[in-house]
Amino acid sequence: MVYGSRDDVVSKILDSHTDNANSLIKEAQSTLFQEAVQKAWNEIDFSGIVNKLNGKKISYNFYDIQEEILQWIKELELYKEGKENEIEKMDNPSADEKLENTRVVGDIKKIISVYEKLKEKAHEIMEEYEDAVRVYRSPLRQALNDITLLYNSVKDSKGDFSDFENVSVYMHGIESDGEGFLDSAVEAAEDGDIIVYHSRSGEKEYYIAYSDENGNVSVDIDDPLTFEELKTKEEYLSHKGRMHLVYDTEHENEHRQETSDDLAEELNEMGLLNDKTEIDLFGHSYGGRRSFQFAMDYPDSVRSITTIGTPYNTNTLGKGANPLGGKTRLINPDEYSGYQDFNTENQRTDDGVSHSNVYTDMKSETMSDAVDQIEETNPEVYQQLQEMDITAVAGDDKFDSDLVVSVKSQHGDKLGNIIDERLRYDVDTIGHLNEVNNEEYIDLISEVNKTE
Amino acid sequence: MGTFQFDKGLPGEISSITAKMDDVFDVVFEQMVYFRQELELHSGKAANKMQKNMEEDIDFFSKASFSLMTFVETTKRFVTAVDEVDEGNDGSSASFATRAERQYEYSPAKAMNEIVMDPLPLEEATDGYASNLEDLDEMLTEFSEVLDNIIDNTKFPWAAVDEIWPDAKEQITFVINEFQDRVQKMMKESWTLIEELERVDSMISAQMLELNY
Repeated sequence: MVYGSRDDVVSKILDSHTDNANSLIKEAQSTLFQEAVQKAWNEIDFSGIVNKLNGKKISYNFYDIQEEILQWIKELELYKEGKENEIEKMDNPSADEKLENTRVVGDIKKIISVYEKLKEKAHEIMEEYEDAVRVYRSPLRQALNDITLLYNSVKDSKGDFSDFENVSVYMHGIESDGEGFLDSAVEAAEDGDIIVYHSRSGEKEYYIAYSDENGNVSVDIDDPLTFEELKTKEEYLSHKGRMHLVYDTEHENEHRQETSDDLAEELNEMGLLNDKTEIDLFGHSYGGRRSFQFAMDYPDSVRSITTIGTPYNTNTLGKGANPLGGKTRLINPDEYSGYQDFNTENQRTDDGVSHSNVYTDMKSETMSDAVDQIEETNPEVYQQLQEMDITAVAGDDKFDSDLVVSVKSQHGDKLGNIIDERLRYDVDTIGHLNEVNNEEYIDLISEVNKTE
Repeated sequence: MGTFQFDKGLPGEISSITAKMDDVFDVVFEQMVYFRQELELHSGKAANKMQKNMEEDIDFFSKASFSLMTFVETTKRFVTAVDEVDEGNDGSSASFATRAERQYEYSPAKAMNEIVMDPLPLEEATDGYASNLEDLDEMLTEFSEVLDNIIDNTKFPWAAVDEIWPDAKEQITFVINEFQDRVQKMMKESWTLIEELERVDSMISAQMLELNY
């Protein structure tokens, strides 16, 4: 409530703000925003806000709204500063003059405070909208990926790696990156193979495997090529060798569906989701689940899956880590990647935001749940899974576990004959962490990579 | 990023066209799968070419329908969810068909299973084929308008979508145009196809009669 009449200049400023606010309301066509503005205007005892939304199009952009409100605040701050300076510069201002000045400055401060609250409310509205639609982000991306695939197929569009017919993709696990697998890929590579390391930043490094006169294959890991350099090499131009993609997920602990969506986009762009290219997937730990998800989503492209240390069942780490809010020193159970699963059991809420990640997945779903759902909803894909070569390797530290995941879970017993072969390799006492560089596993990778 | 923009009328438009599309598409698709199977009984260059074309069209129709329908259904749910929140209601989603489920819905294998379960006599399959194609063509025109509305007026609030949206718009337009071109080509060739199918069917029937004598 403004006691006495409002300062003329402040009223003029508020007139222009009212026009701006009505433009924002007209643009946004959001009931929530209109109500928030109306409430703010009531608090500052000013009228003129439109109360009807007639438009057919909603266009809510919080950042534009924020910028506008900040302008209003700036304008008022400037005038307030002027008024404060005015009274300071006066020689012996009267009590009335001081009182009037205090009143005007007080009114401006109040308006600014209401504007700050309005800005926060506008942000809350954006968050409410985002919360309501987060689940649709993944299906939308999948649909757009599928449209791109079809478009490329009809147009016969090629990517930079389209003519590589045999591709290995290496998928790391939680709290990790692809560096371990890079070493494995290097060891398993054959003469003429190309290795691409897709790092978390999105940058790519390229390597070529060469053999010497004795047939020993090596890769100069300290001297990666740029793509421009790779393009000039015979090994790239001939497309004869295998292409190895060592893939860092964008977020360490993103849910397998998020990884599958990202990987599909990446492979699409590289020209590797096509009728000719066959992909062999290698997954360590949760990377095995990520590989499985990709295979369920794009079974036409996947020839085999070979996992080690993968928790196919629900997992103690998943169950135990989830209640932890905020980061611990070792793990990040609250890491957010933008993905939210439709299954409410496969979600957690951090800072009011509901989302899903590796920890919610390991707590709530077994891979056999996911495969059972596929069997029910798409028998064709289920059959393709049965026909894929799938090997589950268990690291065993002689206590039926690799310290983190039990042999039973690594073998995915509940998946039955979906898994063709179950192997057991000896690992040391911190086995899970080193499995990806296990010599027997690398030999297995080499063996699988011979498939054409 | 952080921008929500769409035409408020989209959910109604999408519901209306997808219901009609589904009905017409199901019938045409089943007929196509049936004809492909029938054409396997035929020999000769012309028949082989027809079968190959039919195979390619079935593959395209399956993938185009599945991806475009998933796209519009997701968009519809997205718009509805924001609207619900704006009206002060709970915007949380009811269950939504997974990609795998929807992919199977438009799969030739599923259509084939349905034919096996409920076999079609040739006459029934060919009857109305041409007019069904015309209906599908009309539906695709309407569907294309809805897609244009989404493309021209919708912004999704996600960076991951923002990055690919410019290309996606062009690709969506291409796919729907390609869909419609193929349907129109099939309309022109439908009588040739039906004549060929009926010719061989008559021939087989005549041979069966001779054998019985």
